[in-house]
Amino acid sequence: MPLPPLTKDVFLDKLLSDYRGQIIVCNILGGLNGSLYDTNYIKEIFSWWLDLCNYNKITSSHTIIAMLNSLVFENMPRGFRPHIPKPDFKLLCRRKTDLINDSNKLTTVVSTFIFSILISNDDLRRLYSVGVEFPSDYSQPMKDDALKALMDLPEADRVFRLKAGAAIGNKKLVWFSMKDRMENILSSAVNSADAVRDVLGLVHRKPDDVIIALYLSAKVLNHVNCARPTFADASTNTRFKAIADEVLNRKRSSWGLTAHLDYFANKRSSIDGLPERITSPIDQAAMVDAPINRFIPLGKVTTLRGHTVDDDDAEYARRLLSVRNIHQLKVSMLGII
Amino acid sequence: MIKPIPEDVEIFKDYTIADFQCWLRVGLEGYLLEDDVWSFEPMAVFINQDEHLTSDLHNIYEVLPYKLKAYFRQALANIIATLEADAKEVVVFEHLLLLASKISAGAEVLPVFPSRIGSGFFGLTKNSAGESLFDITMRTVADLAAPIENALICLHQLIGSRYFENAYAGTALLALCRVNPRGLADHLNLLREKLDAMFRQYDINKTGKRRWAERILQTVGMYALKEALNELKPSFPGSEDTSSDNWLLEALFDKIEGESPLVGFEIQSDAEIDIYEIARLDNKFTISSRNDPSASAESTNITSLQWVRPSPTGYLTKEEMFKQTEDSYEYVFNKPLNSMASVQQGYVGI
Repeated sequence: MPLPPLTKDVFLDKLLSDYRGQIIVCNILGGLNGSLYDTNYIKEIFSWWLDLCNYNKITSSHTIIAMLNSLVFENMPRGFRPHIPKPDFKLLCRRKTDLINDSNKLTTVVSTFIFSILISNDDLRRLYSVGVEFPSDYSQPMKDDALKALMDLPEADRVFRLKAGAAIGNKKLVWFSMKDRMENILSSAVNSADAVRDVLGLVHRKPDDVIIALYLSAKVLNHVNCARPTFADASTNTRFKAIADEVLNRKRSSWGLTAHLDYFANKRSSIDGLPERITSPIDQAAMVDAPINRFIPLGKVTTLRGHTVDDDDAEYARRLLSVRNIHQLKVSMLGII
Repeated sequence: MIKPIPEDVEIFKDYTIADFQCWLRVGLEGYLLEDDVWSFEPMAVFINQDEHLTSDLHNIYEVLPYKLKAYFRQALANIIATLEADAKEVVVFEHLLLLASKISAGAEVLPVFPSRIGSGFFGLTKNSAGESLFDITMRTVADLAAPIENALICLHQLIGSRYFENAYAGTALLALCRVNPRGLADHLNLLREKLDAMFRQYDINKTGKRRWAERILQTVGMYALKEALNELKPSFPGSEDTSSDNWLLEALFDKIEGESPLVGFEIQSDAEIDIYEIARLDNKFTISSRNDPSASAESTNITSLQWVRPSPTGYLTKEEMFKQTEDSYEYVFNKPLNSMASVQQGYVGI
């Protein structure tokens, strides 16, 4: 017998029964309080989200959560609301983003695998010739000698161009911070990869992942859409926080703040990491003003985040919930949607 | 990022290889050619969660039961074997190759590769999207390279292909060494000129060459290197032969920018261990005792050489050398010393 469609009430119950759903809802309400969007936006996105789940006969909590990602970043299935174009739910924060001086650089972090499919063939071959490897096999960590070849690259060789047809951010978004802030972190880091993973809140980066920072000219912002991130942009990123902890950081309203994983694990009162923004994917056309850019190999991540009682999803949800409980979240949401 | 859990893939429980083949191909073509994630139903919700489509598919594969994993790998290999060589399918083919690496499908994929290398898709690589295909194939085979005969066939075909770029020479050599560590001399015969061209084209200095040598040594091990030593091709001063294995010999046995040689020799006399230096003068080697430089090989009753790997901190101490028997191999000079052209300079210190 087919299951009955989810009602708003059941949908919220299922969403809130999972810590990751609680994190999303806390960020929805946080962004609303911070005036990053209005209630109509929430109402609209929930209407589409619920209907899309029902259309796909989705009933489990984690697939409901996963469906938010499909809603924000994908075309809709043929036959679903066929005559209504899907609104764009991403890059819609109301806060205006101020300009960034090109003397500074945008910085974003990618895995070696993604790096290898982004860069031009000439760059790739140059790196191969000095022994850098880009293994795709997830069961094999990068070999120490291949890593050494990457880490020992002379400064002059740490440049890249994008390959035709490739885009940083792929089909989603580019999350970036600023080079000067990143270099402050690197200057005092014992392990650059761990430090950057922590300060940027990259909880999905696990031991043996090798990561690379890309420094991009701020001129790319002339060719892409840029915004402060909201819960919709973060979708299933479980270490997103809509509102900064520190008052000073809240005043920088055109920037979001990353969740610092080390501060979080150590139960600091503020877990504000670095300022962050998002852009639409950056392709060759967006880099036309500055096609050659630098990259910094950060090395191998050595520690695991997000898997202990001090820093897992449950603890992060508790932190965002603060003094509220699940019932209060549900009531707040029902009042909006 | 939300990854699937085992309950999510129960829908595949009755899938056959043909079913997976159909699901994977329809999904890849729908997503890559028509931007339609829903082609991957009923798993569409788990696509575009991770950093790359092949990562998403790897996440799905990871939660399949053992038997279905095998079906999935075979389905992948079947698509690689049968996908029409059409320009629009290049991107699909590239994703299949990357996925093959991610799920370690060497046993299934390597047998079908040879029929696809050097023809079909590779003739379509003139356009910019196709340029990366050879590179992806090269790295896939290198990733999957293991002691599998098919890997050797694939690598030989890739190296012989007109699309082979000099830049791949080092990677290809390492991949060959992984497949067949005891064939180093043969691998070098195959790649000597391409390696030489790579070094010149990309201006690789002695330190860079030493790094390649270090990786070869790590891949094949001391024993296989020892076996290959007499087969390497040196070139002596005055020789007009530009492609040789001198770069490897120098990288192995020379001090480079203050760093210890990668390997060294200890020469044993009948009675007691002494330390000798081996140096090449033109095309002859002379061996002299450090303790008594006037003692030459001829005047010393040498019976064997111990070939050792220096410790990471430098040379082995006498005590360490005797303990580390696994890294120590007896090397008997079975050829005249002057044919040991491979040894440009050997050291072992205490």
